[in-house]
Amino acid sequence: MILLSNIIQRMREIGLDAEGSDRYKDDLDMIPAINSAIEWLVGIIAPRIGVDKFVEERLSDLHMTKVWQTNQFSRIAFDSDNEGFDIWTVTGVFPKPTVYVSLGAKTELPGKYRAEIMPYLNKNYENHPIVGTSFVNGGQLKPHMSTFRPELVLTRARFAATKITHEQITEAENNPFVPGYKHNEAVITYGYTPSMDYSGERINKLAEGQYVNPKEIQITPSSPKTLVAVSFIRHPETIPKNADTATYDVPFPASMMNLIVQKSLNYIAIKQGDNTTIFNVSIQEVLQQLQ
Amino acid sequence: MAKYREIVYDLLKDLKQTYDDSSIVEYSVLWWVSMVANKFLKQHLDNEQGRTGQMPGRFLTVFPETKLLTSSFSHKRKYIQLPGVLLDMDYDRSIAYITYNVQDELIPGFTQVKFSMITPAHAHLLQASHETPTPTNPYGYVVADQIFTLGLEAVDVPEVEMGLYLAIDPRKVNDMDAECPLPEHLVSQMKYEIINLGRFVMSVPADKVNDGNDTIQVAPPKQITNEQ
Repeated sequence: MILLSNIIQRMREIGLDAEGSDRYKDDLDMIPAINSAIEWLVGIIAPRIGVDKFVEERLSDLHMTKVWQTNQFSRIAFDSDNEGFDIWTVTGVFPKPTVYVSLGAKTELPGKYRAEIMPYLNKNYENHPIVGTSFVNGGQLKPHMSTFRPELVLTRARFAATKITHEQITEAENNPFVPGYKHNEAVITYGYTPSMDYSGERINKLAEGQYVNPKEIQITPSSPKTLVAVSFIRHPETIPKNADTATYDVPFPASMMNLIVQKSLNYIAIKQGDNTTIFNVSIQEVLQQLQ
Repeated sequence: MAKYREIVYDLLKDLKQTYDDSSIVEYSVLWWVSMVANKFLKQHLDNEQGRTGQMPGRFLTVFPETKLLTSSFSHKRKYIQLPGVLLDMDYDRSIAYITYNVQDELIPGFTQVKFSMITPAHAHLLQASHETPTPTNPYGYVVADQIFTLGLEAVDVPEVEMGLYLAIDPRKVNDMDAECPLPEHLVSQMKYEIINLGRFVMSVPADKVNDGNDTIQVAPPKQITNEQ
């Protein structure tokens, strides 16, 4: 993590020569430029994820493993609004994991949901406990509803699913030599597809129980109501304009600080006008670091 | 003996070292293992019997309580559903024995009665008094994955014991930690043969790969001239 105030201070000192000056405002100049630099970084790093081990190590502050419960159709829907993070890219899927049930991280769970998990607290289970209610509002889970399991922590995974295409998931129904075909419980290779919108069409307004999940991955062979641990890189959040710069952490490793500083300076230079010295200097710095 | 887990993952690791992006799944390797191991197992059993006159008990699978069923068609014949795939050996040598305990007041309890194996074509030739099928002299013949019995029509025999030489059926390997029924000295041979098989599969010559290009020679367009 890099402290936001460190980035801003470095920009003022190194690139802008504006220490102690009010020429550049945090909320109007600095934070928008840093946000743009982060988005730019996401854009250039994305194609290298999974190809270059070094890239994933650099993103370790954004790398997480969480547990979901599949719906009746062996799918998991990601819901950034309620989960509190936005998935940038999935790096691993582990069906039927061993999990530790803990309320340490999130205690403000709905009563019904909480009642379902309390008997299992502080113990390890394989692919258990399965709940019938949503962690968001404690409502009954409909057949198309998967649910995030905030209280579960992955402790051990026996199976790793292979990423397959949407065509291969159908092929795996019949072909025993592709990942996703189930022979028996001992010889089983799981597969998962990249996220897809399988939703039915919205008609006027959303009807009760209508299948609408904009972003779902599917696990094969069919694993309804099953726990699945998903490793992923989360999308770095946009820094709020009113963020407390002294405490806000930018989720990139310290080794990338100079790159973020230089690219942020580059965006400030664009704002200042074409072809200022700082524009040319910062873009050269960025290009050098990317080599 | 080696476990399936050791054999399969050893081969998978070796094949992936050379072809790390190949999409070989565990079942592919298990399938190759069954193909090669069944061949070696049959050869080994044949050789053993050729040398010693006996089949080794080491690779025998015993099913102590197999239900004797009654067919709903085919004259309500009694039959046994085979619990696996028999190694294909002549004279039904893959069936080491089938026995049952006679529960009869006239003979000592728990007397083991052994079935004699016969072919369906020869079953009707059992006419002589000493070979007529009876509860104490039963016969069996193999039809696909069943063994039909002769001589038990009038008695109630709930279950039999069988000793069988079974082939490895990869679909029924439900425990990767089970021992692969192959002598240790043949494991290296099996590995060699499977790696060769895998290498052949993955080293298809480039000219055999379908690159989507049309290789048909197109005739050059004929020029229209004033001649002729």
